[in-house]
Amino acid sequence: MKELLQKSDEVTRRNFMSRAASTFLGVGMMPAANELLSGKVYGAGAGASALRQVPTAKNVIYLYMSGGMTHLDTFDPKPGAETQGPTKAIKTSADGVRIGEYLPRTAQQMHHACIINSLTSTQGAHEQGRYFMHTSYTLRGTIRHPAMGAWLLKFQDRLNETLPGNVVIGNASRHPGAGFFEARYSPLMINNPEAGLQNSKRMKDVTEDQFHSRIDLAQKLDQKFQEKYSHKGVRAYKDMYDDAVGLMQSKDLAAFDLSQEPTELREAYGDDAFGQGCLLARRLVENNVRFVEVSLGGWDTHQGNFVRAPERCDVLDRGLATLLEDLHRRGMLDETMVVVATEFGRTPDINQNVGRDHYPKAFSALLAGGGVKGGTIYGKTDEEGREVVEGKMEVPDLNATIGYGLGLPLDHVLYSPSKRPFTVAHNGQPFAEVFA
Amino acid sequence: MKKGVSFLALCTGLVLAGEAVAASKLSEKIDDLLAKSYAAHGVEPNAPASDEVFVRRIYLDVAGRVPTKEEAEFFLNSKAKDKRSVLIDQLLDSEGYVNHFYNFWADVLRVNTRANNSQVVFPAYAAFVKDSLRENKSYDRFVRELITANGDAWDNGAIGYYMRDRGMPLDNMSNTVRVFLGTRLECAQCHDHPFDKWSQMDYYQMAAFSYGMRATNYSNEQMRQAGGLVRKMVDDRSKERDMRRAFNEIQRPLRYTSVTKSETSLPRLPHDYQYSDAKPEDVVRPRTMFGKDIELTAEDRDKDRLEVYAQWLTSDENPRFTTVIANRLWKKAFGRALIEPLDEMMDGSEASHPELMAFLEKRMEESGYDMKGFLRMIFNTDAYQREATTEEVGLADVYQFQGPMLRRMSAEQIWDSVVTLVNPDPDAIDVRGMERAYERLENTRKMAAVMDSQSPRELAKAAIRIGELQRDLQKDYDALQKRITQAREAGEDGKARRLSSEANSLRNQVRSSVQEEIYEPVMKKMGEDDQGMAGAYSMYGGVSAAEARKEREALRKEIEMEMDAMGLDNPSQRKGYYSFRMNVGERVKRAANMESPAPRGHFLRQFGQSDRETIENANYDASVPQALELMNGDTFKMVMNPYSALVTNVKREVTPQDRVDAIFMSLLSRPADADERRMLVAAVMEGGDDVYEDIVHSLLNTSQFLFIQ
Repeated sequence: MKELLQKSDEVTRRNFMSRAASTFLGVGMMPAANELLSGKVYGAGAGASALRQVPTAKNVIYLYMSGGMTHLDTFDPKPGAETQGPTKAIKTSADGVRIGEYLPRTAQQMHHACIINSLTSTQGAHEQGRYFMHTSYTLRGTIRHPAMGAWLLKFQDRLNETLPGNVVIGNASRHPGAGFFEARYSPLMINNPEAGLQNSKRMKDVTEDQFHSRIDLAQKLDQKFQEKYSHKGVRAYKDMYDDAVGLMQSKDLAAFDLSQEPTELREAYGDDAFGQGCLLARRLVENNVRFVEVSLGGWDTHQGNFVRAPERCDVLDRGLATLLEDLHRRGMLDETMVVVATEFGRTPDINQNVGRDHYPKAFSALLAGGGVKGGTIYGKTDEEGREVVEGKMEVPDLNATIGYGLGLPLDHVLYSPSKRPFTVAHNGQPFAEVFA
Repeated sequence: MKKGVSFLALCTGLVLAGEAVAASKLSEKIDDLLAKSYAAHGVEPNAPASDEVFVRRIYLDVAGRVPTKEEAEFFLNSKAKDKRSVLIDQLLDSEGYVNHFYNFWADVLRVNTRANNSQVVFPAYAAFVKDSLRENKSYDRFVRELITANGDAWDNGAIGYYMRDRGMPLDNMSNTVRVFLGTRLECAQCHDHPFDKWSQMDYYQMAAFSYGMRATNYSNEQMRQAGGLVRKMVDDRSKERDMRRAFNEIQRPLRYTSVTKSETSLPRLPHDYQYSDAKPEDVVRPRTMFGKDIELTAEDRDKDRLEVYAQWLTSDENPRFTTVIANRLWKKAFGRALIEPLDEMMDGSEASHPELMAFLEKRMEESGYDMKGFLRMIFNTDAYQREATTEEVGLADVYQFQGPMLRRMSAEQIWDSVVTLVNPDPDAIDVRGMERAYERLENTRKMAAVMDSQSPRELAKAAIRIGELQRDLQKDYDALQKRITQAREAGEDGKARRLSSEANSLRNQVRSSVQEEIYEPVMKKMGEDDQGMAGAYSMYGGVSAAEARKEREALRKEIEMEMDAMGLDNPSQRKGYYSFRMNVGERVKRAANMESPAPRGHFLRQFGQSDRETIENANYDASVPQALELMNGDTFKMVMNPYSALVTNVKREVTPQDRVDAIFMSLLSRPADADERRMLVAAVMEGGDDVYEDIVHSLLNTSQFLFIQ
């Protein structure tokens, strides 16, 4: 074991050691050398290479369509095929790229985006599918794997010392989060994007002076205790209060305040949790938060697909199209990769309830910005959207492609506390072709 | 409301005096062994802990919360020589012990009350764990009951053990071996273990013991036959799928309520098995991996695999079983096990204190795996009753147990301590919650009885009826859908939305028709009254409105009685108290009586409560949201409610000094020291009564409050 540890990749090791003492989720828990040796995660050299591609993306906004987004009615329409049902295909701002009619605004942004129509998954149930899509590993009862946001922070850390580096907006109650990584890589979970950062404002009836005198008093009353126990856990709590008070006064906190946006823009994003979540994601990324996921549920259209998919699409359309346009206008799209992903597609065959059932065999995703070549389609399904016939992309490949854009070391092995080896996209192959 | 039970418990303590003498001998033996080790390593043991430190620590370690002001004062004022050991006994016998150790085991066993159809099986599982702790079931029996659990949720809550890993029998075995034998096998699931001696074959042989356990839906012979009958009775092939769906709909309330045991089901090696001792996809038979070698061959068909597995696991000839539990409970008290990590033992693993380890193992065995007895012995040692070690001990350092380590409270301990500041009776049994879980189980049992009472033919007919109804509803749905499309094309978004919600409500009609068509008529025949019936069906998905009303009414009466007893007659006071009890009182429950895990974003999760996804997944790290919660969140408002235990206790005092002390006693189980008193009394003199609130806020935001000294 020791030998394995000594081979520890120097770059990661250095990152690990120099991590700023104050971190948003897990203050001052800077690992000492002995913790590196016996603590939770081990950097190791097996197969690690110093080679890294040049990153084209700094941040990711990951829009997750929970429930299984129908591919035929969104990004992989098959006009004329029996499997298409009543959904029509429409032209887009990109030559030769057509998408489903329920996404008219997104159609006008397709020159920024690359559609992937050749995804395939091995997981046909929701929880397993979501887990696989987020982590590249299949769901197990003995371990929790980290999601992509946690991997990014693990390798490259945060860019803003005050705000969290990893945020999940929406009702993703079983998100794998930081998996077996330290708690400080866990995403901050925000249920309501309009509510701001929970508890970041003083209580209403407390004046600023009163607040500070309370915090000063707490420090005074705690001094003897803190002097007696020189533990890093105790110090971490002292630092945490400094950070929390700092955050409350920080101008970065305004990132959470959507009311600072013009009304027209807020409306354009859509008057719903997803649209406002997309807007919050943009504001967070603007403040150097690196990985923001926004989830939109309700895609499980076993019944009435052609009633419910258009409703979902309408919400997605406003949020996604406005986000792409907004990022582009601000010159942020080049460094921010926007991803639309889901756990699986839906059956080409329309069932007796005019619905579509789970279909992991072939489905779609979308990538835009962060160096991705716009106006393109990658991969292809057959005439009825049943089988991938060109450019098959497995779920780990999609994550490897995202990781490639971010410049993550895809072959770098990290060990779980049980000393099993893991890599960022589970040996998925990045599809470099999607980049410009 | 009940007051503390201290006096009564003191009397019980006297009755137990004989036991206490024996226990103290054992505790002395531990101290002797440690003393030898201190001498050998040139270590000075820590000074004895003061009563103030001890009372807070022992309440937190056994009852999982700080003592109330009265409890702390009662102990500190007592002149009895044996007051510490009496308090230990009292706490081990309290409901606080059940709550706290339930949290402890829920983290180890990943008790998730929100998993699939949790309304039935997982609350029953949680109740099984609590009941086992309450009756101090011996640990080996507890484990055997888990490992051999099968049947229906209403008969045996322990089936949660297999339901938790539904569809993952191999993972379930890895978890069993890790939790109870302290050995990690996961690697060997896919290849021979790289750091340990286990082969992939060992793994599959072990997995073969419990491979026949299936977490499934309730089913009986009639239900199985009905499926075939439906196929015969429906001539049209295309309708068959409808009928199957209808049948699923009927069975829905009984989903994931049962664990069945197959005597024949055996695992096969994976298709890419790469070793020479067998071929890929070979069937594997049960064989133990260490300890006593037990192999079940094809001739052993009459042997109950699970019994053999459970007996082997918990037998004297499997020493790791004892080592793990002895270490687990020792660590619970001191913050460090004698073998670390305690669930990753290998042949070369050595205890930091071998002689002590051997003694603890022997005690565990000789006591018949009496967990409370074992804890009593540890808590009565001088070593435990010393001051916490002030220096930090690294994970790689050998700890000499000069005293307990300084530990941050678990999320549950912090939350339950806040509960103690609010609720004057923090250990009260959650009767309403227990009743609700029980009723839910009863109702599901009744629905299973309905299924049992029907002939295959009756069930098949029912499925056909429901199937037809589903089809009719489908026609309405299709018609609605056309109108929705039209509305959308006409740009009438509001209308389209309205029609959509109409379409969605059609889907609920299938469920209510199942209740009306199937369950209600039969239950009526079986002599169930209307209320029981309505509850039975609707409650499988949650609490029915009628049920909620009934509960609210009962609570209202209870609160009225409390107010009368307290002599509250001013209407505004009554209103205030009523809202306190309805809102704060109901929301501020002990962690053990809430959903496990608490929802994301809840106080408990912010402070690191395990998500119950993997074994012992709680964390103790500081994070900014914790500070924000304690400084600006609802916690402080709850604590400062005019009817909270804390505020009531402070108001009862008159002088500034006594009031300051009341705050300190409530939060830190000690009076203010001379410096603190001087500073704070002066502040009150200058700033008036508002300053008390400042003091509470400040103490709540100290490390002293969050750590166990």
